[in-house]
Amino acid sequence: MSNLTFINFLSFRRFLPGLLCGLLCGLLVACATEETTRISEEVSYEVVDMSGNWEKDYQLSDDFDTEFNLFIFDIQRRLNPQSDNLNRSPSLSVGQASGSRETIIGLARFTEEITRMPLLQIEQDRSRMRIDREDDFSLLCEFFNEQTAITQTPFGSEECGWNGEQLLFQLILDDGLRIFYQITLSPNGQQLNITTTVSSASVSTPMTISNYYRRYDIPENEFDCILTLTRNNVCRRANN
Amino acid sequence: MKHLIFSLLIFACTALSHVNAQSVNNKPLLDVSIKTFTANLPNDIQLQQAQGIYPAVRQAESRYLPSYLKLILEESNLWGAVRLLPDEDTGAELQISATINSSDGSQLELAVVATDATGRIWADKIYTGSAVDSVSLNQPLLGTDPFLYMYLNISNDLTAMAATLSAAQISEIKTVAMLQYAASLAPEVFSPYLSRDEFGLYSLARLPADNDPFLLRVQEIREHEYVFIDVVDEQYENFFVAIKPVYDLWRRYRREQQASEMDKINREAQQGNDLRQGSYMSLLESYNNFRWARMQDQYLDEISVGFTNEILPTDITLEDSLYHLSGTLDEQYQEWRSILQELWLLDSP
Repeated sequence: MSNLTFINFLSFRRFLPGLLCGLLCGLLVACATEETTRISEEVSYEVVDMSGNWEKDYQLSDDFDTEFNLFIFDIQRRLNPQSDNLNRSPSLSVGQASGSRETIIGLARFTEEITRMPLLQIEQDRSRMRIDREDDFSLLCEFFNEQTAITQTPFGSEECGWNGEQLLFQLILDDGLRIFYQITLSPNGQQLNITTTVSSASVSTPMTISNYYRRYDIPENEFDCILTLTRNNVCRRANN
Repeated sequence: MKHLIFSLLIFACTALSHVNAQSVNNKPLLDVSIKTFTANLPNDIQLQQAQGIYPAVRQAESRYLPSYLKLILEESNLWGAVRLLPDEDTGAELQISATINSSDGSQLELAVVATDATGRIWADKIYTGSAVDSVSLNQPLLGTDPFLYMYLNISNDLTAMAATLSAAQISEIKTVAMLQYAASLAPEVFSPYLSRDEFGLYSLARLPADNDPFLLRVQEIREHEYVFIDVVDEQYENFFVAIKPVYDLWRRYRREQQASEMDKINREAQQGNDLRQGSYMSLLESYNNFRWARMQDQYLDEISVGFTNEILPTDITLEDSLYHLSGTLDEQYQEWRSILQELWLLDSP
């Protein structure tokens, strides 16, 4: 993951609550006996198995309004480090250097929209991960022995790879838009954190939203089905 | 099934009518063996992505494209049996092989090699073409293929070559082919019947007697091989007919995707973006463009997965035994050949 310099995207200050929360979660689950499943065959390094069905945990996830206010404070603080903005309600009296009112609100609104993701379905095998999101395209990652995998389209690129036990995705799109996902599985494998950082060329500060997901089970299908072109889905009774 | 293929070929037949069928009318017809095309699939997944290759689709094309060539050759009525095989035919009278250099829906490039049993090269050529969409109200549903003219070019080249050979030369090719098949089963018995010159061309050194028991047994084994080939042939035909509508759609979709991407890029380059940079609408448009491109790719991926799940096991009855062959057709063909080899060793005179 060395050629990805995603960390530059993150304002440490904005990342701090996430880190603390992550640390707390880590401590809470440290006593748990269940170990995170790992996939180690074929790939020469171990990757964390995140496969399963996940639903958003609204209690643990960031509240958007709170995050929006912090985002505005952050921009104002960068503009004028001496002022104490915490005692004032946030307003958008910001200068051009940090972005216009329209672009700042635009970035926040856009971030809110792409971080809703109430349900996720993750399929993973030895060399590939697919994250299906409701009403959006799936995030796909092929693992090439710790190299990052890049998918190019005429409208931007999608890059992914592992950074230790964290799976990272970076989308670089038109209009200077960058979206960076850090996906982390808790040590007991029951909780998933997705921290999304969105930045645009028009706003000096990126916006970060951290969402938590917990596993949920769907009833086991009685049949194993495969898609064929000539016979559509061909199913057979699942072996238990 | 046969009906559908027949309908398809009504169209192809009219396109072939300009070929001078009379030129080969008084000669024996050569059987043609077509090997499934080489998929030419890069091992590196990133390279596949860069070249816009969908592995499952390319694998399917390696069976689909030769199936279409087979139908075109059959419909010309200028050849004997035309067979499609998962591997080279050791007893081929005329062997056609090809590599898919590129295929992206709008362009197709095939490197085709055709060689007869004596080693004479009939074609060693790269055929390239752009998709030609044709719409006709009275054309059968399966009668269209955007690269039909390319297959007709291949067929015409082969026919032109056949026209240059005498009846005696064609008869020699047929005999050499049978002896090569025999030599593959019993080299010590049949190799002496063939000689090879400094250019690598085979010719008849002498002929076995018509009632040679070894030769009769070889012919019997060869007939058994045709049993397998017929079963395989039916699978290829089923595959072809089933895949054709979907594959046509897929190719059209690819062409439209390429065209619309180019349109969008050109339009944006000419008009610029009216939305204010960094505004919500501008960000949303950037994201939606990317989302659209990724969802299209993912849809194509899903379709391509369907191609890989089409392999069926084969059951063949031979000399009162039922053989169940499984795996890919290549594997089944190898398995079948080893069964025939065993039969030869067990029963040879």
